[in-house]
Amino acid sequence: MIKSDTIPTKVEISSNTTLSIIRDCFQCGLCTSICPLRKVSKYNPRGIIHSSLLGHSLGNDDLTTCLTCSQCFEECPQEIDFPAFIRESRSKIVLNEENFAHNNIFNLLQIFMAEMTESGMKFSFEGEINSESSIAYFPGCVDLFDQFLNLKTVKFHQIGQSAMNLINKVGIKPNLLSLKCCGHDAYWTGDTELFEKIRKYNEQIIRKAGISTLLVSCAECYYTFEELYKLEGIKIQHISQFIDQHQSKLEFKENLTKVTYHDPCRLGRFMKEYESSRNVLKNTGASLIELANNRKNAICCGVSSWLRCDDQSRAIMLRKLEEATQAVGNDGNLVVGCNKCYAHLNCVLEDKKPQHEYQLKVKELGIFVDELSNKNN
Amino acid sequence: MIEKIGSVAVIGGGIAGIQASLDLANQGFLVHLIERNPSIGGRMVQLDKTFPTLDCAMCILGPKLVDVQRHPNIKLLTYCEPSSLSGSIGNFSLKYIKKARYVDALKCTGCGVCEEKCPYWIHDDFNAGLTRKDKRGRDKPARKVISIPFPQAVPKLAYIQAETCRYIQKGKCGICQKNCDPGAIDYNQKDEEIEIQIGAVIVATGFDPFSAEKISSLHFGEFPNVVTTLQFERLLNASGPTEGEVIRPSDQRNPKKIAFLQCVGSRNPSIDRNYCSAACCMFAIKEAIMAKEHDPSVEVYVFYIDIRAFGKGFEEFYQRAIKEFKINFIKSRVSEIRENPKNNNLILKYEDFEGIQGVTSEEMDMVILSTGLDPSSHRDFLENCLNLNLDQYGFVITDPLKPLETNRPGVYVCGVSSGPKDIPDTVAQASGAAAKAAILLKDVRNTQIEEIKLPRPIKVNLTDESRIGVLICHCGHNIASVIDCKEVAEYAKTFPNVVYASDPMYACAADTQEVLKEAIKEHKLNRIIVASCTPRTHAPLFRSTLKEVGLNEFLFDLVNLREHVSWVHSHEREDANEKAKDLVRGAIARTCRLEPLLKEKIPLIQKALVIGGGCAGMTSALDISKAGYPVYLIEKEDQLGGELLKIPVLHNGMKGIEIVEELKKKVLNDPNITLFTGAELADLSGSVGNFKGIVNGQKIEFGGVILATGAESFIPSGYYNYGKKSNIITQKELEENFDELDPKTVVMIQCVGSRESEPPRTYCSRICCTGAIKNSIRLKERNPDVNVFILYKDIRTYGDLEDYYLKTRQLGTIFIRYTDERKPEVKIKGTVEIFDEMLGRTLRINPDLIVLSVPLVPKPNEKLSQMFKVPRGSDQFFLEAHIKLRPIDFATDGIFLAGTGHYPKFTSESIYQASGAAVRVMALLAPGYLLSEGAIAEIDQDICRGCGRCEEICPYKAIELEVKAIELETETIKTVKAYVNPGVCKGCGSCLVTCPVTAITVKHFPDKTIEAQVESILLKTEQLDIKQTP
Repeated sequence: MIKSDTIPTKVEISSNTTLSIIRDCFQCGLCTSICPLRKVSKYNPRGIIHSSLLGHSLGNDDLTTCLTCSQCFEECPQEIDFPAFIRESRSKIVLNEENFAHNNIFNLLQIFMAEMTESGMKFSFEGEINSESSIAYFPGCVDLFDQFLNLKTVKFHQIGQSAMNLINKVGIKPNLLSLKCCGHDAYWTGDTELFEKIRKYNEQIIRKAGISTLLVSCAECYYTFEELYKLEGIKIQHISQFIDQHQSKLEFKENLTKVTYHDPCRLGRFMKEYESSRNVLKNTGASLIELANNRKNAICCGVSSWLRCDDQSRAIMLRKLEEATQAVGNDGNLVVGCNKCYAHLNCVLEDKKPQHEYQLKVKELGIFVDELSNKNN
Repeated sequence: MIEKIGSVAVIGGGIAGIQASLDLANQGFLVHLIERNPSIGGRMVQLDKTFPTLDCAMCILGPKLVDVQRHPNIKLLTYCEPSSLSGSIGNFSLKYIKKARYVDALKCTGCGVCEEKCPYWIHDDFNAGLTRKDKRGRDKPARKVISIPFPQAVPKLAYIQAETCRYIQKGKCGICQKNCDPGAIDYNQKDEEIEIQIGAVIVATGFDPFSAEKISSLHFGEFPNVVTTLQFERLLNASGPTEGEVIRPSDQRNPKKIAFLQCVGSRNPSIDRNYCSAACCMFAIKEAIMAKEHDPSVEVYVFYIDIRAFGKGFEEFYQRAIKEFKINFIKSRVSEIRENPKNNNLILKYEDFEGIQGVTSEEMDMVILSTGLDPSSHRDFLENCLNLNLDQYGFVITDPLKPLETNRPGVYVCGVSSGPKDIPDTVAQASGAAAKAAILLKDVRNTQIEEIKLPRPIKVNLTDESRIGVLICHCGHNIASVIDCKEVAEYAKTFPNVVYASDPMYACAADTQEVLKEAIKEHKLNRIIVASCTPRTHAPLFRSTLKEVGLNEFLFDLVNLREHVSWVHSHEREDANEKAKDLVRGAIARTCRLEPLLKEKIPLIQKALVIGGGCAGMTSALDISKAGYPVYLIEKEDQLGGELLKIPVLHNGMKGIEIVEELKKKVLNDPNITLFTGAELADLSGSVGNFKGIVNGQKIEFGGVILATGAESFIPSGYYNYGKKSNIITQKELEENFDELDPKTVVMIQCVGSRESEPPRTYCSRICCTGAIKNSIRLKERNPDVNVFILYKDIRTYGDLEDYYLKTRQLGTIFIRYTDERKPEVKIKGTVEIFDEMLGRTLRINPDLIVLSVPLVPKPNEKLSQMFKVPRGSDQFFLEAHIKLRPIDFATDGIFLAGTGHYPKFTSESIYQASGAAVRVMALLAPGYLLSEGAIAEIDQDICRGCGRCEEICPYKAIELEVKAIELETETIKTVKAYVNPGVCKGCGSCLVTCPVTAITVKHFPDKTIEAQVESILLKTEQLDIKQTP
């Protein structure tokens, strides 16, 4: 191998407008040392910023490795939105198929849904629905996950079912909207055009339904509808906020459950919603024990936008399970407020020895609350 | 017309307020010095040492505190908060609340019994909130509800924090009152509102350290071993809670591995604080060095973004920290602090750029946060009470050309109130603010003050029996840690003429002065010996104390137990004790033989000379003239303006020529200023108060002089092929040819000819980073497509200059750091190669223009240096009397300095320094006379044979030869006799040793006293007859 520092690299500056996002950088290096990927790889946001400013273009690896978890942005003294920089850079190139996890299936599904179907996803849940309701519920891509991830221990459909149960329990009959995927992944993998198609379709359905509140289970849906759709006059509510709002109408069995909570990036650092989930969990009577890294310091679940599920991702997931086990032990629960986190962490949990011996349960917030609440409410 | 009032309110009793007060009080203005805390001194009293000289902060500030307290023209209003200001320039009415101390200031002696007996503890602000351990090892607050703020407090009075006092709140307790012998405790005291009439206001409210709690990821207040730099300072300090032992709070162990984290609360737009606090880098380096001095085995790490060592002596101090003290500087911001639950150690995570690059964790025993300077606690007062315009952070907004003036006429500002800065800049600015107030009120000088009335002198005849008082000072631990002061005091008492001896904690403290005065009266003392530190700083203080009771100030001797004994013999305690006794014994022998001496009033010339007609010189000249004194202004060039003429645009957008024209117009229209251009001073003679010289053949006389000779750009011959190719130029050349040059790619190289390893240019030139950034912004704003690379070592855009650094990055200027080990190379074909340590590889840039950022070097100043006998530093700049507290004075009286001849600085800094120098001249000229030194040479005219050797040797030109006619019985002969000018003679003694006929004596040091002293020390016989010989 040639020693790289003996070969002078020619510097030519491009007039790339994306660079304006990172120009404030004064190279303090905080991003690199806080980056969760850096614990398991040589990923170097500071280096990427500096070499980008010097006009070097980023490769597929640099662009797809970043989890866009925003931990660096959260602490950056110069407020450099590195995730936004990565997203914009992704939008300028075509990402390699092999950088997508699960043989690119979820990306293809999104394209399929956006471009080849006329309608959104259909759901069927037990419970009472009212198509005239001002509140609508959207569970996210739960059934698709069931079909294509095929996990043994987890049914994603249950996310929607539990949410329906809870909504009914507090005395509300929601409308159930048949939306397409929210488009979060299209947006974050840089496919702005695809995202726009999805957004337009969904917005039209939402508007037509005449609702005032759209309730979602997935943190990504919550972020996407609220921040990227900017639907004026329509309140987007995450399931945690909904339950928190209706706490008084729920009763819980006495229990000795131990629970810890994982802040999803999109709900926590992106939307600054840290407390609703915690309020909800405390109210169930379970004992809530915080992860060592919580709230704005929470570490990403390990995969983002179905990019690169590889050994590095697994290492991050295992660290998360370790952190959770430290908090609640093998008989405790790790609750998440995001369908994706739920998928990734359960996926790695199904890998057994010799990979790991973690036995705790990873549960979606709605499922966890529904299980503990009295049925005959 | 409004009637002006000859008094000034100075708001804030820190070093800025103190300096401004002294400068005004010294020229006949009444000063109300208002401080919201119970004692003055501000932040500086909390410091252990000061950078870059490592002077003990208290030792250099203490005398000033006492000066303020004893100054007849200063009213010290501590524990007072101003509440409203009405009226207008020249005639204001200020209301303030005199907060209840619950202690009668007239009765309290500061003995401290109340504090000792008080059973309740509260948060200890003075020690930055450091706690003490109770018997069970739990952390508890460390200050008593009733307390004296700190040992050297001025005024040294107790006060009660009412909100926490059980008696005041609940009517229970009352212990302090029961124990106070003088009966000073008064629980019924109420806040009082008082109104004063003043002509001007000087704002010197200063700052608080940034509250590190605001950044949760630092875990300050949560992890016990995370402390702030101010707390660490208190741990280093001998009068701090640990008596100078550095311990970590969790387990009281001495830390062996410590880390400083820079930019806590600074340079952080994410918490809306983009400014650089300007002082913290040096503060941390100083503490790092002090930690090493306390324990050489401690490992020290400093995590930084840029080291901003931009002041005089700073860069050299930083280099010492690296080379001599082996302090590890790591350019990286720590992202995570975790606590090891087993031992409370702190695990820091950071990216290491050097060596094996990567993310590293290091376990530290202790983490010290370099908290920034935060003015915001004064925001409400400044904005709503004084109606000043503040910036978003709470700093007072000033015009760069009027850096001392606020939006409200008659209200001036100095110190950190108008922007983050360190002590020397603050002191210079404080003097400058004083100048503005003095000019405004020049016509009402001496109208509000009372004549100083000294008591009737105590008559002491040489034949009177000596009654000596001896003080053996502990100097905190400086002396007492080596010498048994009590024992030495007891020893002194064994001598027959010593009728009083004691061993105070601080002989220089204000309360000790009172004790001394009482002792003089009570024991009828007629001679005093203080055994403490250097007479250089402290003799004037004790002499004033003697004067205040009417004892002649020359019946005094000072023994230097600190420099001469405890510091040099710290490892030989027994011998040190013996030496201390020897020196005290010698002093007793000498003191018995001292005579009272009188100081003479010598008339002076109330005119000033300013040398150098640049921005600084013109400002000084205008200020002195406006204060009512005629000024001679000499400029060597044919036109006024200096280097500023060569700077088309300043970083703040102002145009050099416009600034010059404005000043020039004022100078030319000022009838009080006599201008000489194309001229130089020659044939200087005389001294402070009475200088004479010749300019353009005209004889001039003046009382004081300001050297404002300026600096110029270094010519970087031999650096980076400069001079060999036309596209390799300096920043100045870029500015001069800006309109003609249209480069596509520009490489700027910083520190070309500065920050070198060898003198004379080891210094950082302070302004070149901003200069390069200014030009990068100009290039980018003219043509956004031009590529600008700045190759730098550290970017030193301190204070609000950080905004320009951010701006140019936003415009796309690329910064690449280099180190001395791998400097950039300019290849023959014009390619620049630089090893980019951030990427770990060498980059090649093909610029069409290379711009070198060169330092300012002083203009030729050797001749003036010799003429005025003022020193220059190793950097060739003029060297002031003291880098920290006397930045505009020379050690020689009557000579002051301003502008870039002192050190590179920005225009606004030159302006306030020039005003500062002007106020010194005003204070010198104001009384119209000088007081001679008492201890001067005296020539016995009967013995002198007029050989003239003394005249040749005298460094101050104090001796003149005169032809005298001597009438003998039968004839008259002409003879030459030497004569001493008492206003000039410093009593150095050079003439004495050169006189072949021993005609010369230096008063206060006649041979008989020195002989007695030496004999007494050498003979070492306890029975030695040290009674005076009549």
